[in-house]
Amino acid sequence: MTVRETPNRGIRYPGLEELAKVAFLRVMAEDVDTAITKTEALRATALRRPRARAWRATGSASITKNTWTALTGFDTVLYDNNGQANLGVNNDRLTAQTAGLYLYVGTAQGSTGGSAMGEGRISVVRNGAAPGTADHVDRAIWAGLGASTYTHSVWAVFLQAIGDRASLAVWWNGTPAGPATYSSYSLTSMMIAAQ
Amino acid sequence: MLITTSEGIPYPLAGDFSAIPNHIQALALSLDGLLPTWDAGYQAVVKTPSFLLRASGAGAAVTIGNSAQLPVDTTVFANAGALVSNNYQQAASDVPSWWLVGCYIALTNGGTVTANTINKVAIAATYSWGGSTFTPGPPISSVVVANPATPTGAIYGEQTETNNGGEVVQAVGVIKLFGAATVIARYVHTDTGAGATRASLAGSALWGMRLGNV
Repeated sequence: MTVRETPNRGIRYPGLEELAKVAFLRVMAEDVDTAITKTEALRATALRRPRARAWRATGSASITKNTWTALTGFDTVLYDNNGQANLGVNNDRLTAQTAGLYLYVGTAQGSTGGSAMGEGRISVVRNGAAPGTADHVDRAIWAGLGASTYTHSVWAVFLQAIGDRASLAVWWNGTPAGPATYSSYSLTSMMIAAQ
Repeated sequence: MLITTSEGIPYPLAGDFSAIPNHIQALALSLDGLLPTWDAGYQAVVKTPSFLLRASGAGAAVTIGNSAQLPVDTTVFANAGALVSNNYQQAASDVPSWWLVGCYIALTNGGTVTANTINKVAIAATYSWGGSTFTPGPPISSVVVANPATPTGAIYGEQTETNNGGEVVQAVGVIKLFGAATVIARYVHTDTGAGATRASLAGSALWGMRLGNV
């Protein structure tokens, strides 16, 4: 018996001498089934670009003045279609499950409880990078005009390998002794392109 | 042998029994040709044309009322177009497209810095045709502020000067690119402090993702 198969997907098909054996048609049908299943998996991935959002809905974090502090305690996954959040293991990050270019957005609300805050910064951090590096993208707001509660946001684009993580960190300074409290913070990710 | 209406999959006519092996082969080969085409389409969706470019060094120091181009010189990621002369350049063969573009520029200060002044960045697209340089139509998002030191038809972002350790200024918006158009990012200095200057720092970035055809 000569096994014939197609060049791209290796679909086996019977020749004249195998036609009398129905089993060979079943082999062809199963090969077609396997090939279509792979295509369906690609379609599912194409239509569901990896995205996730983790949020701290309850409680707050205490942040010492003039100290970069990682935000932890995410307690709610608003959406996550490919397992970037695992709050039971790490409640402070989103971990890439597909290699590619990602857009991250971080938001947070800070307060010094009535006293005017000076400057607040929020950062999206890749793999725990140190402040002042390319993987620690921070953005400041100036609340020196008298605000004691403020919200701010930052976005960053990182090239992530599988297992690379993104997290949030904040810093503040000003007249109050502190600590400041940060609440209702969230980290959002969207894959721009697979690598 | 006939073919189906949508995908052209061959099938035998009734009574054409003598050529059944050929029909089965034709059916298998037809499917074998269709599936890779579908796969390529789905793979193209997740590999959205996009780029992330970084500056490996500091940019020029500019004085009040002036601007300088962000000196991006490192390609972190680009699956379409290329880094050309500190710009991102869409491939010449690409159709006119909408792009979501953004930048984050870390700025350092020189001289006497004045708190509460504005640091500004701008992203603009230009293209050359017939020896002249054109700026495509205005972006469909963000606020455009007139300033003689900055390009027209640009996306702007602002950051209040905190006078504490430099600033990171960000901008993001949707912009139209024609074939071979370039995207550039600039930082603008508006501080009125005596002798104050601004310069971009290494690690500053320009990024973009294609949204679709115009």
